[in-house]
Amino acid sequence: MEIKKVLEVARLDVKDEAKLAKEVQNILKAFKKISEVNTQNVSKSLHPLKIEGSLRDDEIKEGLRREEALSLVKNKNKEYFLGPRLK
Amino acid sequence: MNYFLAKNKDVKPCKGKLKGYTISVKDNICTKGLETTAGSQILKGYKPVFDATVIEKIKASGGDILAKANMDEFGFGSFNINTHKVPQNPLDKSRVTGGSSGGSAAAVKDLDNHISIAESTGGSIANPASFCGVVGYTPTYGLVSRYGLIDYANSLDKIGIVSRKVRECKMMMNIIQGQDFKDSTSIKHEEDYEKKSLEVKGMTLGVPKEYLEASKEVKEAFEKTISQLKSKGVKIKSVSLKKNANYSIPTYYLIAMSEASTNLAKYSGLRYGVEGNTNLKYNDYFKQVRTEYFGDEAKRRIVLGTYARMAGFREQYYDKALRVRTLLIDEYKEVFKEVDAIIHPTMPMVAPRFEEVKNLDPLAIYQMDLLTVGANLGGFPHISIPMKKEGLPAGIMITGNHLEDFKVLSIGEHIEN
Amino acid sequence: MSILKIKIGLEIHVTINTQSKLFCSCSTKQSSPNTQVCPVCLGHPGSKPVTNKEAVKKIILIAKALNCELREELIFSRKSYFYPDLSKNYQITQFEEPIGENGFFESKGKIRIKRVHLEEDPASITRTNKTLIDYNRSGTPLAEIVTEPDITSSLQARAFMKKLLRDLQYLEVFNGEDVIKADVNVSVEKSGFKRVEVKNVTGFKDIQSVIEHEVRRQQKEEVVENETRGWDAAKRKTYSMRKKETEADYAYIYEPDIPIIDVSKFLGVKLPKLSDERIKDFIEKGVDPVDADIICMRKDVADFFEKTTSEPKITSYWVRRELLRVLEDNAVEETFLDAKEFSKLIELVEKKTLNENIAKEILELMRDKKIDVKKYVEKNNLKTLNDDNLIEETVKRVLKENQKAVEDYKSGEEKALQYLVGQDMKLTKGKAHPKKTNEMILERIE
Repeated sequence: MEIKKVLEVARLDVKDEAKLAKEVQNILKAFKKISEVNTQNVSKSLHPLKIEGSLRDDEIKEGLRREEALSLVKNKNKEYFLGPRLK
Repeated sequence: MNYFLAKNKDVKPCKGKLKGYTISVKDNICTKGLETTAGSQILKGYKPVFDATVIEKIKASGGDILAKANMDEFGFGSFNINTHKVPQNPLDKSRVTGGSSGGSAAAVKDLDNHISIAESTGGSIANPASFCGVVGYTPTYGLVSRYGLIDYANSLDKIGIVSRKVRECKMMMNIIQGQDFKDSTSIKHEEDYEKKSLEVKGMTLGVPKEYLEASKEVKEAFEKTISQLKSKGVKIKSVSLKKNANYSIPTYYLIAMSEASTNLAKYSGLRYGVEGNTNLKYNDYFKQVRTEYFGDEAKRRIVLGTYARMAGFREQYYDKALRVRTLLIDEYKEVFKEVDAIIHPTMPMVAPRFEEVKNLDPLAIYQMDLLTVGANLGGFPHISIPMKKEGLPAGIMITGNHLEDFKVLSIGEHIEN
Repeated sequence: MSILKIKIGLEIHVTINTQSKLFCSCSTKQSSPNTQVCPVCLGHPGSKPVTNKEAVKKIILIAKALNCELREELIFSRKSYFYPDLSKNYQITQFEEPIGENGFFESKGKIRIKRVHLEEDPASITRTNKTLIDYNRSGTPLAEIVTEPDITSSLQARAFMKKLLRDLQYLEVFNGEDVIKADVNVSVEKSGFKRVEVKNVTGFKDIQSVIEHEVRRQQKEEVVENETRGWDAAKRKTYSMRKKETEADYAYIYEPDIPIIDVSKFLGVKLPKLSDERIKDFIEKGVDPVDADIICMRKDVADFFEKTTSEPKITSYWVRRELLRVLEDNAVEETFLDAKEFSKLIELVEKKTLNENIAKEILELMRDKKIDVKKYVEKNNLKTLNDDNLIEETVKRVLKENQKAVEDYKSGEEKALQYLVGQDMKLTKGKAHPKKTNEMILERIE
């Protein structure tokens, strides 16, 4: 796949695209080794051990005050976070 | 030596069990009001508005945080060179500390009565512990809450401890363990780790024959330690981790990078961290911030991780790796049916010099993680104990089955004495 | 002329009415910007999602009501894309394994339901000349319902949506006032059913407009290949979107911060009666089908009707006319209306103890405060005047005082009679029995 497409999806630019493309190609080629493994009827492990998932009760808890949340940025006004242009 | 990043000017002396100690935490653990960057420029100046759960627990036990420990950017690295200020090995400043918890290991080596809370995804606690000659303990996945840990790979990240003595790991583990309702992947299991260690006499330790490729000095130290264990009544058995030897590196990296590439998407100049120019259109805005402030290794891993999950590639990379992971974990579990724990050198060499690693091919670096990656992929508890008496340090690594942390710590303590 | 063959599919997003958000404990109530936020829904580094049990129960209700095959495990995915309203630049959703699949919904025909799943809402962006972002909405639970392209007309789409929203209210998973959003897929036989997807259409009305617009447009302009379009609500037309904007590779992975959760214990939940069943129940009690349908448009009204004790058919008239009028936009629970008192009111009218006009006035009062009907009528002396002598007295007086009207009637103006009756009503403060009054007046002036 084109390195340009992946960089686009990842919202990144690099100085030397060709170099990165080559590195990535090499690495993925080496990683392709796992296709040798017979995984028929083998389930996927999303986590290394079984975790009893727990659900949260539908209760409201206090979060952050607006000033706290906005204190982390410069791009803001009194009530909102300011973002980049949409058009 | 650069092992610390942000320092807490108002640090209070530790009380209670932690009295007399100073504590640092790896810079990917959120500390309220204290700059937390995960070793990355993109979070320069970021002061979290909350404490990670482990920080709350340490404070509740009378502890306080002295400083944030240096690390490879977001945990991406094995030598702690992938960051702005590179730390040096206290034993030889021309050598690396190891990574990604390089700052933690160097601090513990350099400072007396210091404990550092670190984090491991593929071996980032054991590796620098081995290179710096200190103890590095990585608990079973899920025993310690990840709430407030800046993610590298969520199904692989584990908070652990670096210290000089195993006893200190046990003490700190009692403080930081415990299920946390704020972390959906934390498990319900608590124990008293400070009780007297188990007797190792009569235990069987498995040495994987595929995990013995190492430099001469590391091999010699390992063999010597094994002999000593035998003389203490420990049975040594040769075992095989063939699948892990062949496939744990690609499996680990494909999963880790896939998860990491999604975790790092949030760093885009909004809500916190470095901000961009809001006159730009949004995609350009994101690209501008991310391109300027992510390091090369971070970019490389984002690209690899994105590839591995894109349409047309996902099945052969990400999905496949998830299935192979099951087989690799099963392989360890089969071995644990015959042995109490697995033992082998932590790293195949002593701490390399900066020149030696500066121009290494990324793939070559990834492959150096062979010895630690299997245990980490499987979320197995493991500890690295210094095993060399002279020269540059090297660690011996003990890996136990899920939730057998106490056994691992016991064996570790025994080797330490 | 060949019959127009149209295929319409809908991908609907509905807000689930939990108190707190899907993955954090922030409130879902409307509030001042950026006041219902926390590290989780703001995507702060290190924060982690924890799943809302009530949202899970509600999505299961929805999937069941739509007759889906249900999964025993809840598995989430990360859908990656970059946009200023996405606090983590990925959305936690269900891609690989939705909670419900292969269902159907009966609405003027059987519409197959492809899938039902749970996901989080992004934040909201207000655009003036700057991009202002409010994270209050970020993390609100959404149900996504996707149909197969079985809908064949905008009328059928409208009926489908009406019934769906109605039943979601019956399930108590959705607030009637909340706005729904949909992606609308329209294709016509003329272009070999090449699919056109119109994204981000807000509201019932617009969804219907989009369908009608697209069907017309696709008959005139040929659709060459599958395409994605946007909807300009102001100009009331769809527009082409650049390919680049629409070809997104979401590069899904499983959500590694949330383990697979066993939800089998929630799957056995019994569904409450949905609108079809309620309508049927009411028809069985003797209510006219059209009236039953109107009453059942709102669950609170249907529940209110269910609790009444007066004769069902007559009560249904009162409910579908007077009660709805008096309620306006308020929910029954927001008023002081009581079903039993309502029934008493109706019975008084039926027994001719209370005039209908007066009853209607009392009903309005009952909305705004608690009223014991019997006591109120007694206290205010509102009972119908049935005593013929009394009525006769008032009629005599009215006729005496309104000679002109009497003359007008005699010269053919029918309206003058109504005027005279009205004058009598005034005199008796509405209590005179209208029919009797009418009869008596006629007797005297004919």
